Amino acid sequence: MADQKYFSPEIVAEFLTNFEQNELDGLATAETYSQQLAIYLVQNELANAKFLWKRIPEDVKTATEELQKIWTVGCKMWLKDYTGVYTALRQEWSEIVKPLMLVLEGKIRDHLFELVQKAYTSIHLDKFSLFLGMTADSALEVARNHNWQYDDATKMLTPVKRDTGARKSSDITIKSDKQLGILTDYVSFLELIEH
Amino acid sequence: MKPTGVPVQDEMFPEGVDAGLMDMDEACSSNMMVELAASERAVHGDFFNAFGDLFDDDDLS
Amino acid sequence: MEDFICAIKTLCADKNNQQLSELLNKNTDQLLQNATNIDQVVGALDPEQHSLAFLALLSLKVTFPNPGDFELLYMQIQQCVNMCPAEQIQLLKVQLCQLCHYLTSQLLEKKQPLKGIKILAMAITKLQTSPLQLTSVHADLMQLCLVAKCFKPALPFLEEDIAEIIKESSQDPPSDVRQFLLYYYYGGMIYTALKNFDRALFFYEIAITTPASDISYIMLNAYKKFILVSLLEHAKIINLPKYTSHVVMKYLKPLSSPYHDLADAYASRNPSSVNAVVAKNVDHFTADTNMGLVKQVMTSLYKVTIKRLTKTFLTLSLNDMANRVGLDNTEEAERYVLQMIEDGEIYASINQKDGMVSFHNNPEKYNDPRMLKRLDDQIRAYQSLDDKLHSMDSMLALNPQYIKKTNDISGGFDDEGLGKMKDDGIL
Repeated sequence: MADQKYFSPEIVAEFLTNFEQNELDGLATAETYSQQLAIYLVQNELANAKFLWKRIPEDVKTATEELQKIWTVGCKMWLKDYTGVYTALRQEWSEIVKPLMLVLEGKIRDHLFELVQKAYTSIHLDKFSLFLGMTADSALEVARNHNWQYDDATKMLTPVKRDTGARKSSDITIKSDKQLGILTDYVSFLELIEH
Repeated sequence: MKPTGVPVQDEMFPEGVDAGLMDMDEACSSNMMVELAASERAVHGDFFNAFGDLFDDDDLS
Repeated sequence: MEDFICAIKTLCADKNNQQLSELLNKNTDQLLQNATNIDQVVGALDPEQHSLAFLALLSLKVTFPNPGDFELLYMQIQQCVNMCPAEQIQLLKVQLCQLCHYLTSQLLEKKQPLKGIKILAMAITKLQTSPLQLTSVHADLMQLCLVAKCFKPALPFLEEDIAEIIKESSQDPPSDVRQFLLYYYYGGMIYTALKNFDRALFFYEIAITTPASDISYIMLNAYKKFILVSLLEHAKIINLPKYTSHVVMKYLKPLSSPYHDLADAYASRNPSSVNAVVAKNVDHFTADTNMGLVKQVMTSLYKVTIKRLTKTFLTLSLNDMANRVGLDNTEEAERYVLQMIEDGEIYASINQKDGMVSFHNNPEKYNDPRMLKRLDDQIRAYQSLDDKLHSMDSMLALNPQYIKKTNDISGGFDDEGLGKMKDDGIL
């Protein structure tokens, strides 16, 4: 998806810094507030989103219907209303926030899929489809793609666990010579304390 | 007449950067003590605390 | 007037600070007696080249009962803070702090707190020679951030562990104490709002444990929030260190009795007794604007109880759990368990088919590079803390006041610092 690539985490973070600085300079507009609020949601900085909502001037809020709609999504996230969040996301978004809201929806769906995988050993298909914000048929397809078992009679899915430890560690590697250096540091520090 | 806001010479140009520093320990032992004149019972009664309730998780309006 | 401006410029160019100071002081009666005249002089100066005069004149202007148009003054202060070089500002710390305090109070009055945040942040950076120094402007910045409900700009300052205090004025130590306490109280509030409870506790604790011989309302408010955040983070009131002043236990505790009642009820783990204490003291909590935190405490009780169940049971039906925790139904119980799994508070899995929850041990095996990196980061943090402690210890040993005091007590100088602690086996 082109949008997703364009809105890489680094670029989104850079945008956010600009919006935040603009706001402090008194240059914020309804458009920048909308994007700033949407980015806080994408980055899951819910407290920052909440307090931004509280400091946006009343007249801007009333004049910009979309701001209220973005914040409705934020409220669902804040309240951990996992199923209501998709309803709130299903809006005609303006061009400036649309890519962000698409990224957000994808992130929420990924997160909730992982949560179900972690938290359930069996889950009803209807409940699972609410978590994914999809029809039961599409949700079942997702489950089958991940080799989850499905019992037609009870409509129960059996999620397949993933080894969480191994997955997360892959992004950090420490070379053995560096590790040796670290240990040398510790030892010399301890010697220093002794004397 | 000498307006109080005008720095006198010594104050205006202290001898060096370090002159205005004290470390935490010195601070705690002497100047930083929360102390009162005998006539008062409590201090800082007028400090600014009117932020409203910033910690209400249900307050999303 | 022209000659006066010329003289200022020449003295600034010659870096003749003493004569500049004399010149300014001499002219406060006539040339510099009102805001309009000062504006004329300041308007002719370049904040970068003539920073000392620029700053000194502004600090004089804000003491006037009528300092003139605020927008102009705001721009002048902004120019001054942004353009005066740090080394010049360091010579006039008191004056810059004055400007910042004035700006803060004006912006609060005008309900435009956001407008001061960048200026104060810049002012602090220029006042400091190291980010570990606390200035009296820190508290102003935190106050503006709290009123504006804009916390991110405060974080780079709050994240530093303060090791020194820049004294603002030699004659007025009480204002230093006040700004010190406010910084830690306000900082604690910012961390509480962002739900960084651990760090918030650290900030409140510093405010509470500041040596005191009488009651400070700032300390009292910090103490009340300390109790609530302590319940949220540790499910009980954590112990204050031994060096906490006597006054805290003697006065602050009785003044916070509704909070202690709440903590006692919380310890019983019984939702209805907690609710009863809250109902009885709702006016008190609301008046303290702590009701939001109290409500968080009430919700957290369910989670604490669920956490305790994970230690007793391997599996439990959702129905059974709802009964034991005091929740309305199995849906509620499932919602809580799911949230707690999401937040990493418990390790459990829900079986919808049988309506059961199984509890697991922490799957962390402490055997991967990620954990090693975390460990290494921690060790390094402690190493630098140890370095800092040593250098503070040696500085203290050379402090004349300290030497005099230890001489008075023990009759001879004896190293009572880290060396002693090491001998005692504390280190």
